[in-house]
Parts: sequence; structure tokens; C-alpha cells
Amino acid sequence: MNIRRPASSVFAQVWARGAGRVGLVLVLLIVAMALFAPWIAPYAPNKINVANRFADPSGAFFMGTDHLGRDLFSRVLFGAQIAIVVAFAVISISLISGTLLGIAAAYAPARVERFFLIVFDVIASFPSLVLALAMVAILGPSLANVIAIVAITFIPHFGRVARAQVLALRNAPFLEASRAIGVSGPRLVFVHIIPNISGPLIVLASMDVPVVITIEAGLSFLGVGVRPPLASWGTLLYDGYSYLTQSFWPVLFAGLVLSLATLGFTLFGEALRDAIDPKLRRIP
Amino acid sequence: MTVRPIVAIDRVSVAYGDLVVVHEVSLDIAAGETVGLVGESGSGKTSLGKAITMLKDTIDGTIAFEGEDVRALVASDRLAFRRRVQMIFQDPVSSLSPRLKIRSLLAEPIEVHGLPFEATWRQIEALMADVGLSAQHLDKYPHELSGGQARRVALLRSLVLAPRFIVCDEPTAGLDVSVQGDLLNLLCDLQITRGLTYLIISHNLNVIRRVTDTVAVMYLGQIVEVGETATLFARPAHPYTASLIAAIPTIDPDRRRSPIVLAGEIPSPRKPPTGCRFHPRCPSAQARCRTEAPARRDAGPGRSVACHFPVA
Repeated sequence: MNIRRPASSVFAQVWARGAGRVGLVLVLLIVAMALFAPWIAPYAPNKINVANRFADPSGAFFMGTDHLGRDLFSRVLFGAQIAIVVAFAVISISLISGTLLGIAAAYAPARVERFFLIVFDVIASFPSLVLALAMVAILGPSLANVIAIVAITFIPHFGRVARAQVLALRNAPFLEASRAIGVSGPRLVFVHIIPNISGPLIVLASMDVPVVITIEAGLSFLGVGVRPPLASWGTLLYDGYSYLTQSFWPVLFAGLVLSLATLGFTLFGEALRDAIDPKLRRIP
Repeated sequence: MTVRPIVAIDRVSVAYGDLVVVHEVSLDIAAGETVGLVGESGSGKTSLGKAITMLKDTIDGTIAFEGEDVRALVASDRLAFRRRVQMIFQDPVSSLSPRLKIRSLLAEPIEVHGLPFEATWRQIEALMADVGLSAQHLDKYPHELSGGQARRVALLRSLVLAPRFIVCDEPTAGLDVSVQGDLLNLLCDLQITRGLTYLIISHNLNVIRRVTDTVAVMYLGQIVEVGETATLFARPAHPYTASLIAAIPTIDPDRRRSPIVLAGEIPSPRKPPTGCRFHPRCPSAQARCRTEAPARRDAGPGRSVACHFPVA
């Protein structure tokens, strides 16, 4: 059982590591871009200005323009919005449902538990991107579908960790003592079990954020993610890649922002893991 | 004893999977009495305690509380049963939920049982003073308390439900001697003021001798001897009881006993010995002990022994 630490000290520990500090700054930067995109963006992200296509970076267009003359900087900002919305929606859905399913599996009769584990294994045996690709191809691309499908592919991740944590905790004396007092059902789960298994799950969630961002960009790049003209980083990369011979700026900037976002969330996740529980280093 | 027992255990068996850790145990506990349950680690004491409090299912036999089957009591009103029968656990700190402050831990039974909050909380505050806890402990986490303080918090959580019967599993384990004394005095005071009945599980025989009225001795999942505490300690009848008592450390040279050294270790309950379960280690075992399991027979008032050849 990990000793409880006040949240402020967890953040202090993330900040104390060089990598954690870089991660935290990048994460805050990306989140700020997403939050304030409508106010920061100098142009509407979808405003076409064909006369100005393939403009190089300049005072008027920080990152230049794309093949339709849309301002790349504005589109990158709104792309951050898509990335953050998808990442947080997916992680929240799969964290919550994975945790509840994992706890249910741990307490279910052996047969039901095996069934849960087989379903988890089947889902997890496909690479997330391939599974998501296949399912989006069937259900049709839309923001909601992308979120739902990617969330499903991440549920086993959380489900398995939650189940393992509950198995380790199940015989803890305090759970038996709580039952002796009369605690049961939802109260036992939400007050006594979840707070004691949340550390590894939160770490896992933070480490999965960059993966989800990459998958969303990948799906959009392949044309099965969010629908154009919505500006996903994946769409920006695809558009830029199609016109690479005319201008390399769109690919360069979209790729750079995507890399920095992934790097930032990864560094932050790793620092968070080390701060919450160094023993978790084994979890990928 | 002619009074109807508050707890009547009748040929109860408890198992973990196919491992039978308590085998056809019977024991009556009279209201207002303190019964001690002694025996080595792994003899099934705690499992029996958990069976009485319905934290562990029995595979056989019945347990009655105030004349009613505990299964029926739990089935009809689980919370009402919990308010009557409570248990204090062995490891004080880890029996408190680690992420909750003491305040929440103490409020929990009130919330779970839907008791009137204000009045009950005032009662808790009064009890806190009695057990030696102060308001400053309320905002601490369990790991910030000492073993003795944690045990008191656990005791308070039970007491607020005003139980009739409490199983105390190793109430003094891990406490230093002065705290042990305080805690035992506290338990005795509470027994008088609240009319409690206790089952005290311990392998500390000095504690058992001091606080209990009756002692039951367990060996490998069975009760081998029951007797009134003073007589049982003075004249143990079962060879196992005799060896336990002879092993009590004493500093009085006049009362020093020659220890009875038992051969070998306690056998695995997975493959209990034939006949009397104690025969492979018994200094007075005979041929009959290997084949025939002794039934527990009355041996005087409140006394019973499961031995073919009792030593007293």
C-alpha cells in the first residue's frame, strides 16, 4: 500500500525532475493552446484564401499557409483542441469503465472473471491503431466514433491493472474490518477500494495520453479520423504530405507540434509515475 | 451454567477451498462472560472468530446468536446483525482504511447504519475521551497513529454500534506492555458499563489468564479442552494444554515449571493425523490414540476434555 501523499507534493516531485519539468511545461502549453485557441488564433482555421496558398512563415502567417491558403498556425491551435478533447475523452471513458470492469472481474465468480479476461485479451491482442482502423472503417469516421472506438481499445489496459490491484488488495485487513462494521457494495468499492488502487491507474492514464494523441493523429492521417475540414494534427500532416513538393512547412510544423505534445505527455507521465510510486517502473 | 448461551457454536467447520481449518468445533459462550480462545498459529482460532461474525462462511454446523441462527440473522437484516456482533482485528493499523482520516473512519459506522449523526458523534467524542484519544487525532491518517491508538479507533468504530458481543482477535498483539495493560483495563471497564460479552483470541496466555472467565484451547482446528480459567490453568487435563501452560514464561522461581517439550511441528490441516490429532506430539500417547479420535467429554462443571488419557 502506498503511503498517502498530498497532491501538492506529487507535483513538487514532478517539477523537481528536469524531464518532469520539461514535460509539465509542454503539457501546460498544449492544454493552453487547446483552451485558448479561439482567442489566440489570428484567423478562422477553415478560412480559405487560395490566393495565399503555400505561403512561407511570415509576420502575418507564423507557420505559413496550406494548399488552400488556410493559416497553419490557427489550424495547429485548433488541432490541439481536437487532440486534447479526444485524449481526455478516451482516457476518462476507458479509465472509468476499465476500472469498474476490472473490479467487477476480480470479485466475479471464476467463470465470469475468465470471460472478462478473455474479452480483455482479445481486444488487447490487436494493436490499438489496427483495431481502431478496422472499427472506424465499419462504423464510419466521426469525432464521436473515434472517441468511442479508441476508448474501447484502451479499456483492457485499465481493466487488467485494476483487477490485479484488487486481487492484491482483496485480503487487506481493512476491507474485512469495513465489512465487519457493515460496509458493503458501492461504499466498499468507491470509498475503500478505488482510493487504494488509484495510484497505478492514474499513472497508466497519464502514460496513455500521448498514445491516444498519436492514434487519433494516425487515424486522421489515414482519412478515417475526424472529418475534414476539422483541423486534426493528423489531417494537417496528410494535407502537408500530399503537397510536400510545393511546401514542406505544413509537414514540418504539424509534425513538430505532434512530436512535442507526445514528448511532453510522456515525460510528464513518467515523472508522475516516479513521484507516485517508483515501483511501477515495470508497467509499460 | 444454566443460562442460555449468547453464542452457541455447534459442530462448526470452516474451510478455505478444500483446506479444513476448523473441524466440528462446539462451544457455548454465556452472556456477560469473557471467553479466551488459545492455541498455536494456524490452529483455526481466527477462522472460528470470523465464522461467528459471519465474515467467513462455515461449511458445516450451526452458530446461534441469542438463540437465532446467524445465517438467518444476516439474511433478514445484515446491518442489525452487525450492530449486535462486532470484531476487532489483529493488525490495528492495517485494519483501518489507509486513505481515510480518523474522522471519516469514526463517522463511517454512523453513516452506514443511518444513526442520528449529531447525537452519535457526541457519543463518539465522549468515548474518545474514555479510551484516551483526543480531537487532534481526528485529522490524522491511520499510518500516523501508533498501534495502541489505531486499536482504540478500531474499538470505537465497533462500540458506536453498541454491540452485545465482540470478538477481539489478538487485542494486545504488537503493543508494548503498558499499553497492553491499558487496553485490557479498558476492555474490562467497557464490559461492566456496557454489559458486553467477549471472545478473546490470543496466544498470550498471561493475557488470557488475567481477563477471561473461561478458556477454550484449540489444536489443529479442534477444541481440545474447555474450562474455567483458574482451574484450567491450575490443573490442565489435556496434555496439549499442560504443555502450553508449562511453556508460559515466569519470573517467579518458586513457580517455575519444568517445560514439556513437544516433538515436531503442528501438522498440516491438509493431512491431519489419524485418531487423536495431537497423538504424534503427545508425551502420553498410546496405541488407542492413533486409531480412535477422542470425543470431548464433560469433566466437571464447565469443563470438558477431548482426550483418552487426561493428565488431571
